[in-house]
Amino acid sequence: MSITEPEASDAELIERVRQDNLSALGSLFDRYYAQVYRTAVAITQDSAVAEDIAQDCFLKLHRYANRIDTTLPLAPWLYRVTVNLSYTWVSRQKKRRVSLEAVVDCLMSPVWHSPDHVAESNELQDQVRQAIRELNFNQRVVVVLHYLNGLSLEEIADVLECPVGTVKSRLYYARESLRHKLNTTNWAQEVAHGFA
Amino acid sequence: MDLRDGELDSFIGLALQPAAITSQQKQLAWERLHQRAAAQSVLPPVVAARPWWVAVLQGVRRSVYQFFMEERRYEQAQSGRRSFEYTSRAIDSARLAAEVLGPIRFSVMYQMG
Repeated sequence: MSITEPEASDAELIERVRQDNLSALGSLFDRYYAQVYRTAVAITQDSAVAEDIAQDCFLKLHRYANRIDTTLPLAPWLYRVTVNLSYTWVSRQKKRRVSLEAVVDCLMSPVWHSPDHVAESNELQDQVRQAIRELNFNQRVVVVLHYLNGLSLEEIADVLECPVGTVKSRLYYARESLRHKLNTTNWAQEVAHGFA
Repeated sequence: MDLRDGELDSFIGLALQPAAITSQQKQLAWERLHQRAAAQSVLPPVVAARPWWVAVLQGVRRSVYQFFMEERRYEQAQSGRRSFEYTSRAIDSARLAAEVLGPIRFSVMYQMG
């Protein structure tokens, strides 16, 4: 991988990408690939699709480098493109009406399985992931940006280009929906009692 | 029993643990990206022409701002010979000054104290 100047600022690197400098693109790729890929995985829950989305995101960064405002931080722009590309993919998937087998494959995808976790936690994680998967797209995006990427409500509003109140509302209803779904499972109640 | 906020946050955080990325995966992704980026060109910057209605909106906004916020304009109107001042009884701190500068120019200044 081409990592030439890790200390260069994003603005400086974008300036070089504008001159078609692929090494600078490599530095930005090295800096942001993980965030973009993980966000796409969390939204689409498909590692292969997430890889394609990450590729397209950085291709757009290269192609539209001249149109990026370098006075603003780059991360929100990348998140915005990632969310938009994910939305396009999710919309297409809905139209295709994914088969039940595909959903099962997605659930069984090893991308979520971390070697650091014991088997007991897998059931819990799967249940919560399933509940997150059942959220509508807008709520899922807010949950992912907040819990995975650690973005504040204001930062999410900036990424999604919508009012903070809208983000707050989506997060509230997403949390209530997750709470309701998790409460309806026996194990969750047991765990909840165990915590209490 | 409802899940408490802290428990819910923990569950969501646990479920959304970052996907693992191997160095090989990243290397392959970069090689693929490098190849595709080399095959495309960087688009030139867009010189956006400002539509007429944006100019009108900005003018209205500037006028409203000056009318309500600019102290100098208020004082200018207030100190003018052909001006009068009106103080609202309903709002103690509100003052209004009007200036007649000619047959077709009439300026009204409103100030909240």
